[in-house]
Amino acid sequence: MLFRATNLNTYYGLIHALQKISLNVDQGEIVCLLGRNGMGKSTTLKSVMGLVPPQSGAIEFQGRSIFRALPHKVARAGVGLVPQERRIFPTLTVEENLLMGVKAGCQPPKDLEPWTLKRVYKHFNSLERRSRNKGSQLSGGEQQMLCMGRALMGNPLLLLVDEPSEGLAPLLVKEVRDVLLQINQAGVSILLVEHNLKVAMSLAHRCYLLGKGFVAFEGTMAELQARPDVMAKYLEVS
Amino acid sequence: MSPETQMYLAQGIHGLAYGMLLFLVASGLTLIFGMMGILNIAHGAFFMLSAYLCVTVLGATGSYWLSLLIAPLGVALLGILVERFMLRRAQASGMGHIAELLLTLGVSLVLAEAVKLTWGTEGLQVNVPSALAGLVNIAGLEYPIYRLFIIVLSLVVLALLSLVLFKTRLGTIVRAAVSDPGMVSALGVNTQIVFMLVFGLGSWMAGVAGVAAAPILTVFPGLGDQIGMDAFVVVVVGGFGSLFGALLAALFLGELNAFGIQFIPKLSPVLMFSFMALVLAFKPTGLFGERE
Amino acid sequence: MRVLQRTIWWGVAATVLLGVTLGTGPAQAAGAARGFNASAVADMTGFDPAKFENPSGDVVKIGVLAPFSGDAASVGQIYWATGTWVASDINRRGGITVDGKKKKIALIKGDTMGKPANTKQAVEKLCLQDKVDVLWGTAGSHLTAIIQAEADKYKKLHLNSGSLSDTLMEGKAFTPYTFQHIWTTHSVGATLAKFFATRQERKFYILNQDYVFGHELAESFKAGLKKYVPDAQIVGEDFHPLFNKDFAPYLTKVKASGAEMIFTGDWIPDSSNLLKQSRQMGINLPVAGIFLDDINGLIAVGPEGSKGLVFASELLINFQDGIQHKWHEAWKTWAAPYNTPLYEWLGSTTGAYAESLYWLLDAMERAGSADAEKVIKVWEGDEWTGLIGQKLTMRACDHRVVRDTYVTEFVSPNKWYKDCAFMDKITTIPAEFVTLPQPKDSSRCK
Repeated sequence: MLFRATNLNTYYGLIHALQKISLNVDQGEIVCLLGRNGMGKSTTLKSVMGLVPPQSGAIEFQGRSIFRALPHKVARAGVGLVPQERRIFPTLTVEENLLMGVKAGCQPPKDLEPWTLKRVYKHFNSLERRSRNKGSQLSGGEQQMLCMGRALMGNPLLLLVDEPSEGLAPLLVKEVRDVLLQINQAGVSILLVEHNLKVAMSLAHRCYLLGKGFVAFEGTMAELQARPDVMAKYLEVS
Repeated sequence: MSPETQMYLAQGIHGLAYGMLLFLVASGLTLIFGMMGILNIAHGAFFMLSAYLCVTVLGATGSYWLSLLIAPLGVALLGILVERFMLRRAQASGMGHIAELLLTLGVSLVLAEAVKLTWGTEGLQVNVPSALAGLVNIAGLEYPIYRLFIIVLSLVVLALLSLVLFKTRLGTIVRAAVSDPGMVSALGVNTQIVFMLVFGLGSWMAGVAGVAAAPILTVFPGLGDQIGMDAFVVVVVGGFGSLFGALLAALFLGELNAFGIQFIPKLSPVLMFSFMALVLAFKPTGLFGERE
Repeated sequence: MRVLQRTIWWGVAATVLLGVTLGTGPAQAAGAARGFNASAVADMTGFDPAKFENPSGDVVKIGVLAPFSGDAASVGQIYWATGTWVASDINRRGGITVDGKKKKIALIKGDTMGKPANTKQAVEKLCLQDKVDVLWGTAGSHLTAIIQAEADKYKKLHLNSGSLSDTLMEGKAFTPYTFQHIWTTHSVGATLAKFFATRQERKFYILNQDYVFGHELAESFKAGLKKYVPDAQIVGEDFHPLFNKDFAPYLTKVKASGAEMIFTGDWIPDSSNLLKQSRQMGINLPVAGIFLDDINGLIAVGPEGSKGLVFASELLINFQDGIQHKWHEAWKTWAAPYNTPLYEWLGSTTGAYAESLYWLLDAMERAGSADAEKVIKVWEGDEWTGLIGQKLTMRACDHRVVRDTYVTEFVSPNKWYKDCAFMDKITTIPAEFVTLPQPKDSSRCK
């Protein structure tokens, strides 16, 4: 198993945001976290990354514990983050933003083709033209591409992707979906938080459905589709 | 040049010299704030401590240049220790920025008392190094060489700072961390070490300013208070975390001070604060800042 | 005229000398010329303000109100160093006779921190908890006014040795418990104006600190000039913030104004920064002031930079005078870290602080009691010979001192310091020209 979180408990002050959450991602998988707003999907990703350290539980990555490790240790172990707010560095150029993703002194995984500026630009055509622009000058779609490219520059084995299609036009949503699929086919496993059920259905192999801070359902996408009662209870009707 | 033109030229250079000195102090303050979210109250005390170290190194070696080298490094080392062993713990305490603010306030009070115990309360004097004593003729205006040296020294520090910030990997990391330190750490950079280095760098610049100012001022325990306040105004006006903003604000406030004294002396002490209030009223983030 | 003044002055000094030779201490010679007796000062070997220990048992307690912390902490140090010197001297001599027995002097710090709220707190603690006999302070008229009101409330003697304001002892502010030993801003302005009447300079630039004292002093100097130098011109007047950093913009204006003399009431570090920065800018105009005797600051500008400065004070040591010289030599025996020019120089500040305490303690001894009412009775109208043999009178109706004042121009070389210009010839300005008139609004002064 590439990644396994067991019984994670995370608090924001007195609020018990994650309650004994357990989930795993296998090599090559795209696993999707589903659920309504405020159920703890983003918090799960932040807890894994070490940005919001969990109180108790266990997290293993490639058999080693990364529980309560500092974010840079988690990153250097092979986890990449594409956060919801994108968090592009506004005063840095596009190229500098990408280079910020390079983990100096870290060897890329042997069996995967390493990511370079050239390879990122090949995947995200729009970025090359904008390489000398400041991060703050990009459109929402470009920022999303840059954010993914930046994470890839660190050659992650597991990519944590938070709401990549949020706020994007349908055409861009499709582009993001395609890129995620390509990345996955290149050997990167993905833990995805996705609001858009259609995108999630078309990408993910398995999913976890979160209630208020707990796992309400887990299974393949087909198994989820077979449970309209669960979907009605824990997903937004759209 | 007419005597009147000479007078205005002199005021212009005075403003430039004080503005650049202010920038040296303010740049460290704004970098530290941008990256760590800490308003370092002890920054002015580092400035003051460096001037005292300058007195001691000067007494021991007789060389102003050695003082300029050693005193700021001493202050930088102290800054690093304060970050590593105090601020980091305050941050880990989870009490938020209040703990850090109180801690730096405590550091400044302890430094003020430590200075009194070590060097006494009496004002100490540092002479202008002989190589920089005297006046130089600028188109008929006799101007003190040492004040020009302050401008040049500040420009050199500014150039070095720009080189590091814009031409090195560390600089990229620092600029990125000024806007989003959390994201930087999520990309695999140990921001704690970067914080420590930046705190050291900021303290070093306050230290350079302290040594540069020592020969034109009396070195006494309250030395850092006013410049610390002025630097704070510069940071607020320029925008928290913005180096470019700090540079422009420092130069503008330096000139505002000089020409304010020339034309409206009765109002000059409040000009700086009025301008700050004006900027905040129209742009709460400061001229070039992104954060309130 | 001036020869006559000097003769009188020497005459007073000689009287003290004679008194000393005959061995008549001030206490014994009731009715005769009372005053400070340099020869009676104890052997002060090993004196160290930092190691001062309060005597035990029945003592006279003096509360020292000064800024012992904050930006002006050096002022607090001067109060403490001077106070402990006087107390140590008196204690080594066995104390003063009060209530029929010898009592030694104890000093208790009251830290004003230079702030009104802290000053009020410090006074309350000294009066209620430490139960001091005397409150002694302080720099800053706004703080002295607070101490004055509190002293009246607690009926404690209050000796003001640090605030020059003209208005402290006038109108409703007057209280019988406070005595203002230090000279007033009126005297400062009149002293320097009277001095400049005999000189060439006519164009003055006033550069003062921007607070009540700086403004009051500027007005006094202008009033003095109007009276004694009607053809004088004020070519510029600026007020800079306290603890100012950059004097260059002011000095550039001074230079352009065509001034022949800068008048300043600045005290350290402003006074030394003003001087230093002007000399660095090649502006060698003389400066006239009352806090220019900061030796560190003078040495920083060297003999060339400090010569021609005009320094006025209510007390100036005369090098030629044997007793004063001996007193000054004794004064110089400070141990580290007080063995610096600031403390070694028995200047206007340290000297006047010491003089005020010696006078107070002498009045107390003559009253035979530390009781405020009894001391007031003795001190009002008291005539006393000061530290340098000058005649002092404590005016009964407003508790201010009638005295001659002194002005000197710094020269190089001089007998005092080789690294800077300093005093040589002293000009005495007689009391009649400089004394603040008695307040008209007081029923006590008629």
